[in-house]
Amino acid sequence: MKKIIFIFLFFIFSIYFGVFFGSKIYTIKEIFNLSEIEKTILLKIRIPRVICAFIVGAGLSISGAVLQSVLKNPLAESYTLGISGGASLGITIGIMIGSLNSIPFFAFLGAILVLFLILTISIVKKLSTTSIILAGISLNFICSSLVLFLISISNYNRFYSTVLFLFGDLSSFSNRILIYSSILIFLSLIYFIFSGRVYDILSIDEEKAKTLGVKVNIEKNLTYLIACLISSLCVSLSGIIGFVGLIIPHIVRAITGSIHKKVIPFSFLIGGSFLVICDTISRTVISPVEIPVGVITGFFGGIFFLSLLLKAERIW
Amino acid sequence: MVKIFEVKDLSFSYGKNKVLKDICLEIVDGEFVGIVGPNGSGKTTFLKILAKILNLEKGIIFYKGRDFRKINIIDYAKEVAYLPSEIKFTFDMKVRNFLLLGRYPFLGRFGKEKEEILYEVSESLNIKKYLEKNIMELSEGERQRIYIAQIIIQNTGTILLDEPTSHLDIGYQFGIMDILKELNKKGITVVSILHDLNLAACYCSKLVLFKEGEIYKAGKPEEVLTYQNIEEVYNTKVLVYKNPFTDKINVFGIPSYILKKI
Repeated sequence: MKKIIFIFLFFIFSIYFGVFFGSKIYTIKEIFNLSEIEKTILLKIRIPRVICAFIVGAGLSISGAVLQSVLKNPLAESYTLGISGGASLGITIGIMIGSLNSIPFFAFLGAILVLFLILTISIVKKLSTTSIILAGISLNFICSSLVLFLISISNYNRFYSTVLFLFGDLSSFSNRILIYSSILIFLSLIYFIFSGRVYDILSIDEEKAKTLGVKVNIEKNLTYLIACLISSLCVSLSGIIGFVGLIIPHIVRAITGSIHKKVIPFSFLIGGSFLVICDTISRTVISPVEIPVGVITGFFGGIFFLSLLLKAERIW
Repeated sequence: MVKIFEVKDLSFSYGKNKVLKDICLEIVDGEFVGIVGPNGSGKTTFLKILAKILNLEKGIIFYKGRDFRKINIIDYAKEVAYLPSEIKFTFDMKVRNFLLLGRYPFLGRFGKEKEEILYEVSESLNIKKYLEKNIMELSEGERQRIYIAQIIIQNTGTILLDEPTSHLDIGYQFGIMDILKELNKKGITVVSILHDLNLAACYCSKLVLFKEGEIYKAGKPEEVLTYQNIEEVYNTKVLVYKNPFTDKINVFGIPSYILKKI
């Protein structure tokens, strides 16, 4: 119970921090006496950005949590599997073709393609848990290189600036994508929570799962599909943000235990809050200049990932 | 007597490798069946087909007179439980939560868990002290008891087990087999792969001896565990006798260096 209160306090703090801090810092008193311009900036820029950071962090975290379960791989997430990379390549191609309105669709295509590739490789070559992750990270690099290649061969300056956000940036999302991403990610959250028991069983043993009446293949494929959808929405909003989907579920498991009915909603809350805080730091540290949020998450995430490897080695 | 399984001309192969050839077998309600045989003789594959983990490719199986293929896995999970030879956890989990997952066939995604059954079973298996512990903290023998407890919570009429006593010391071995015998006495049909022929002879009412994907012999322990059969199938010399104390068959392997002296 204490832990749950702590998580909610963390959530409230992150929202407070995100809304009140930035290039201009407000106190609670000031917030009630804002000028029209300040009001507009707060409502039209800062609050949507906090929501976007929250949705992206939350989405990456819940998709990481379920991917780790169905793949039985504690290192899995959309970034380490290359799904995010695939989505970013899809987006780049989409923008090149010129269909700016269907960015998430192209992202989804790219993500699904990479996931299909990595699953096929892992089944045909019977890869170990760690090798799958190595393959995923390689695919990520390949995709990123292709994105850079496409940027280099295109002459348009504008193209460069539209694609640059793919490397992790929360300042240039479209409000329209944010609205339906929020709805879809929230629906996925509900689906994942109700499937909590299935993810518990799948994380134990697939054969055992079948004999407990779980339709393993259907459940897994559906989960892959939804996880890809979430990742491609997140990449469409903010580009590739690594490690959040990996570390948040682990932190949550350490706090609440590994039952997915708890892991998933709390990953949503903590993951969202975490990215809001990271983003706020990235906006404020050397304000008015912004550090890309990927730098902050990469730094914290990398350190955490390392400590996880060293500490919990026995799990894999 | 109800026939739980009626297997006819069952064959199975992994690619070109034929693992099971024309298996025919009947398992009747209330039997305690031990499946024995050398490594790689197809025992596990056979059990996995019965558990509906592997697809039935060639042959017919009737489960309680019904066509096996037509039973969906959720209904089947209410009737037949299975314990793999090894469970590899991705994440550590509280014993209590692990046990409750045994109710999944009845609860599905939305059903509400009832904890009474948890206390009942953990009382009878003497595992109450482990309920709040994490499963990875337990020793292999303790863990095996937890797995069996989950199967009891699943509350099926038939249970299939793949070497439930391997890796265990003699105390835990008999502990596990005693639990299975208790269940069997309550009317549950038990089908278990066993490596230890003496354990199999002690507990089983029927033995099925596999050799290279075929059933070499099936019947009462004293019919199956003759020295001729064992020497033929396992390719080693043995001494077989009836233990006067237990009145069960005992099998002793004889080391070849001693054989040379005789």
